[in-house]
Amino acid sequence: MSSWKFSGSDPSEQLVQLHHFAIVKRQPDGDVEFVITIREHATPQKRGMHFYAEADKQTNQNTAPFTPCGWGSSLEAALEQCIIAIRRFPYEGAADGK
Amino acid sequence: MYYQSLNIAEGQQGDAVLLTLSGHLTMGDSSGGLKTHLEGVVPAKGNNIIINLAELTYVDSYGVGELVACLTTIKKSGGALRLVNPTEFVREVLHTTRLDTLFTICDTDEEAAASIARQDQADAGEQGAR
Repeated sequence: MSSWKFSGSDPSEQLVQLHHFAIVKRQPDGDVEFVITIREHATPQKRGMHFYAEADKQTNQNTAPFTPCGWGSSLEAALEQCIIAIRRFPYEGAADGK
Repeated sequence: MYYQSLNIAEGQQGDAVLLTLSGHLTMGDSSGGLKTHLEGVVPAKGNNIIINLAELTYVDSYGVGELVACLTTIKKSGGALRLVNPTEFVREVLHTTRLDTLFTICDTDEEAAASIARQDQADAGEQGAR
């Protein structure tokens, strides 16, 4: 176990280590970069969610807006699930035009 | 945690098709997929769908995507989708992923059917007013 998890925090304080990644979603109307933040929980609050990954942008905005995410018992599993989720639905642009 | 395949039981609740899920809704699912099943149901039986989650014990992020894909299919066809009585774990997942704000979640099948009927009446009223 990583030493930072022994830092003496109370489980209710939900200490996490953040990991950042970025990936380009290739689309016919232009590439879009998604930044993925993975939260590694010192004390997992939910079953199977030791690592929780979430993208910085939504997809499928015009019908059912979805924030790509993924989780698992390892960093790699959460990242892989999140990348699959990013690929699943089209990025349809943000409401503010970004 | 051991793997359980997804089972989909089909029925009727009011004017809506009732799909009762049990087992796990995950990427490793060998049942052919919830969305694929739904795409077979909609043309044959209509696009008002209730998905009962009371016996669904685990969902991964792929499974969450399946639910969003179902909602997308239903919305594009002009229908309505309701989720019913998710287990505590699935409810937590929907909350963590903020999908509890995207889906309408009801406590019972009857409540879900009534909710869809109210939406149909509202939609018909809007069309009549045009």
